[in-house]
Amino acid sequence: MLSVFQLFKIIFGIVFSAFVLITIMRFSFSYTDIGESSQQAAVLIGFRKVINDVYTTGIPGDYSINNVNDVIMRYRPPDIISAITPLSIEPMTVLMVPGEDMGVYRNEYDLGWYSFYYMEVLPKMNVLINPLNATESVWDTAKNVVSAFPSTENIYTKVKFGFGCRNSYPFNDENWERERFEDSILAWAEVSGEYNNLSVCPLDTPAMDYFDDRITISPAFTVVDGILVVPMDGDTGYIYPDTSDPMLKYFYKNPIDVVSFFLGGDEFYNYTNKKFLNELKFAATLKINEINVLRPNMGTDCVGHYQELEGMLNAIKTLAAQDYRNQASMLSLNEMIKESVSKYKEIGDEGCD
Amino acid sequence: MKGQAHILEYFFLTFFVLMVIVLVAIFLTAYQSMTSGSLQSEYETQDTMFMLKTFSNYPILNKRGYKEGSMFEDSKLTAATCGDMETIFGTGWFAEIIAKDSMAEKECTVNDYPLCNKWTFCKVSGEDFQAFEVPVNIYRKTTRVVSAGILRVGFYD
Repeated sequence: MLSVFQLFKIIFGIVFSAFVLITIMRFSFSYTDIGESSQQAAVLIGFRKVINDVYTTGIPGDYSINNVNDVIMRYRPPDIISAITPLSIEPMTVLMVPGEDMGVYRNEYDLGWYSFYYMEVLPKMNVLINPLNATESVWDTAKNVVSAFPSTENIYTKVKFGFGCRNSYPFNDENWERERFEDSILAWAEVSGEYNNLSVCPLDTPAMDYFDDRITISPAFTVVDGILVVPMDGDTGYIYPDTSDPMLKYFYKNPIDVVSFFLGGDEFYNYTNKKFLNELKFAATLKINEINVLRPNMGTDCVGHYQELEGMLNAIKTLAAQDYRNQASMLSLNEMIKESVSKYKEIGDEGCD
Repeated sequence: MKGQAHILEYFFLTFFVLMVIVLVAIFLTAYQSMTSGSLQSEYETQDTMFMLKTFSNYPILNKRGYKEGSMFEDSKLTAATCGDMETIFGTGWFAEIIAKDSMAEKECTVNDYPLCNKWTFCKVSGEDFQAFEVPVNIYRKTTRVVSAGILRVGFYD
């Protein structure tokens, strides 16, 4: 027969053990959550550091994130949206598609007196370029668009290319990364003349399984799967994201607009345009100020050249403040940029720089 | 008496076990707090270092065609203003570039150029900050000479 004291000991032991167990379990759950969050924060900080280093050095790199969907929910420029907190990557311009293994690359749009740096953080990707009824502007556009992708020859995470199609088959090779594809393959395809009448690539065939996505380039509007690019010349034209709606189109003024749209739709297109035009205005303002600083020390032969350049830069500042979807403004901007690049080169050739 | 002693034993045992659990919980929480604190500090340091590297390599301020690291152009530094730079880099930071040449330190303005050797952006006196310095090259456009200098970049607390 149990005594009262023995009964007390049993009941007290059970209650106390339950209390200790529940306390430890609750504490360990919250500690695990905090530990996971700290780990994710460390991964994101390390990721941002790699992007920073590639931006400042220009040397491409790779970065891997295990269970990337747990760490990065999505990229909404300029913030990486994570489970913990949004992480801003300003002031860099970054085009990112999250993946477990990503290549980090700094690309450059060179305007002579100014270079626009933008980052591409992309997973492994195979892109099909589909030129239809190829004219000179179609081939130029194809080469320009490819040049706006990263060159992954020196990193592990590859972006590869192919083009097509003939008899429903694309042309592709494991070695066709940007440099080789742009300088050799596309250049040869244009010069040979044998690939000017390629057809629309089919959607779901085994040969097409190699590619993750496609960009179709055609001199006229045509219904295709994926993005359609209709060039006006090598640099400008219209992007049709969905050819079932021919009224939905976006004007592009340089190949970065096309690649931005390809990677992230109108969200990336709007983001890149705002960043580029903002930096262009800033660069033009700074260059004008620099010309004013240097004017007292310029040789008389150089004053006239710099005056012309200053006029062009003032026009660029005004045009860069216009709506980037306005075709007329952006065509004028492109024209003025080309003139300023040419004038800047002339200044250098004259020894005035 | 014996019964009371037994009960007291249990209370003491209970008390000590609870104390151990509480101490372990405090220790783990403090450790986690320290780790978060050091992550925060690492993040702030990274911010400052990134600002330093970006500023020193920013193409708008650098001489074109110089591939081995960075080389500021003195005319570009003189032309830039704090307001201009804040449109790109945001606020809450400052930068100073000082060319180490034979001249006494003199702040550069449009009127003093090129007989000056110090450029300051967005510096506010009396505020606490964390800053880093690196050596840099500065190309003197009028004399076509390269001077060595120091770039100091900091964030205000």
